[in-house]
Amino acid sequence: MSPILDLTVLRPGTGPRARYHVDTRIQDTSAVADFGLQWRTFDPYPELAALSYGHLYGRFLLPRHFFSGKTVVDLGCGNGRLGQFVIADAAAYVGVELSDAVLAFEVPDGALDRVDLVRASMEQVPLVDASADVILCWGALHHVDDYGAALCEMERILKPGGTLLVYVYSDFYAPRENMNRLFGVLEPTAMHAFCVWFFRTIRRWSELDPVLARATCEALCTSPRMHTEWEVIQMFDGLGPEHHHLLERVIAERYAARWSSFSTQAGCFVIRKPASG
Amino acid sequence: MTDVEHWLLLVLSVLVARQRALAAGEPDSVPVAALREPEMFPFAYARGAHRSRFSKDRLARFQTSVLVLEKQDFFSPVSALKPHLRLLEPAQGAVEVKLLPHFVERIALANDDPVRVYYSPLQILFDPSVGFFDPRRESWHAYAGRALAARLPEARVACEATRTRVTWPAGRLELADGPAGAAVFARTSVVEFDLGIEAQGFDVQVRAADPTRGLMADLLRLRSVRSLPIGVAATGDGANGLRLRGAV
Repeated sequence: MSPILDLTVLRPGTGPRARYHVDTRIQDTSAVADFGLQWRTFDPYPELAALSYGHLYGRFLLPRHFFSGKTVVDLGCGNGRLGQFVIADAAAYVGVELSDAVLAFEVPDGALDRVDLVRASMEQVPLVDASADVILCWGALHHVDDYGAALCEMERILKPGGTLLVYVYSDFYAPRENMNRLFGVLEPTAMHAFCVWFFRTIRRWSELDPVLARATCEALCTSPRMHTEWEVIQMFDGLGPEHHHLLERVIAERYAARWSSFSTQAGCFVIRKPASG
Repeated sequence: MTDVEHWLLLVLSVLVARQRALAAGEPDSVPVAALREPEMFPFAYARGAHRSRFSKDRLARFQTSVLVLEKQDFFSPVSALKPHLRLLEPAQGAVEVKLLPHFVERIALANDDPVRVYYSPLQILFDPSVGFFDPRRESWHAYAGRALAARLPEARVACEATRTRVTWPAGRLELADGPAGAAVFARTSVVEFDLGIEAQGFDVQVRAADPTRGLMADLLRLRSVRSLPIGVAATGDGANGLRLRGAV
């Protein structure tokens, strides 16, 4: 068991083959359940490993062995889409995920003694202070209710000199804001049924009136092309969560003066905590 | 969700998206005006051919338009007439289109015969039994009512100057001109909605016999969410109803 876990709030869980712990303070909300459903049911990334590899190393511009020998905390790890690459190199890996998607995280036999999976909230991370060399938070912070609290937690558990890798939705997604707020009230199954119906309808319109089909799609920030099942369900990333913050400027401003930070591309930040002070 | 509920959600989502754009001072994404007044591409006879000249940014709409030759009683989507049209790009972002001689000859088009080409989003309602929408023949609501009725068994249509009613055993639909937009009222066994679309916003009241099922069950949560869409207000309308208003 990793020494960085705060055992006073964790209980052993069952499910994954890896060591698994559940924070006794978490609460299951509909948003949490929706994300779990999304990861477990619709996520196609296991077949798109090269894409995931590109998301991690390409977008953050990381050298191949960046994680080698380091203690890495993956906040919002989902089913281990990016974590699978970290595990291969890291000295220790702690995957933190609030939804039950973590139950689908498949840890290879050779890494079982270096991996801990934890069901916990990013707003209250059950890890001890200054314990992580690297914190990875890909596409999760913008869904957290109190993202300010989550950022404080990241700063708390990161070691001096450590690195924070954060990806949040960029301002490119700003026009989607209103649809997210509307679609946020829909149950996942209703949202899925609507998306399937919508794209079928749009394909028919594309034959009859491509101008209208394109204009409708532009109004809804999507495209009239064929969509995969995964893209259909992610059309507006609207599977129930009412939390959908746009944090690109928040992150940039928060760390601009205090820590060393740079953006590798829209929404992707590499942030280094000062080694002292 | 039923098909009617899917349509309602699509319309709501477009209107809600539009509200944010309007609030941000961005261009209106919903061509309400085009619904009532189709976009025309004027043709005139000049230099030995029927020609039309328009800005290049309207080309996509032109290619989705319908060509009408009154005297010949000929209607056709422009997309089906490509071999009979020549597109020229004269200069300065303009496009010139001319009808080719073999088409003119085949269809017996005289030099002074009117050629009308127009774009309307209503053409997606095309049905073999109702044909294309022709704004010179009927209003937008009459055409939409007829086209929708063609898909509903046992439907009856009643057209008036400013509104059209469609009734069928399981429901009714009313389409009408609004002061600066359009109004749609529908009642089915599942849901009832009363929608008004204006130049700067919308107002819709939705009710359901059973608010615990279908789209209504989801929409009712809008009354309590912390982050409503920008420019949109949601209020309860009795136990089974919801009113959404969008305004800049």
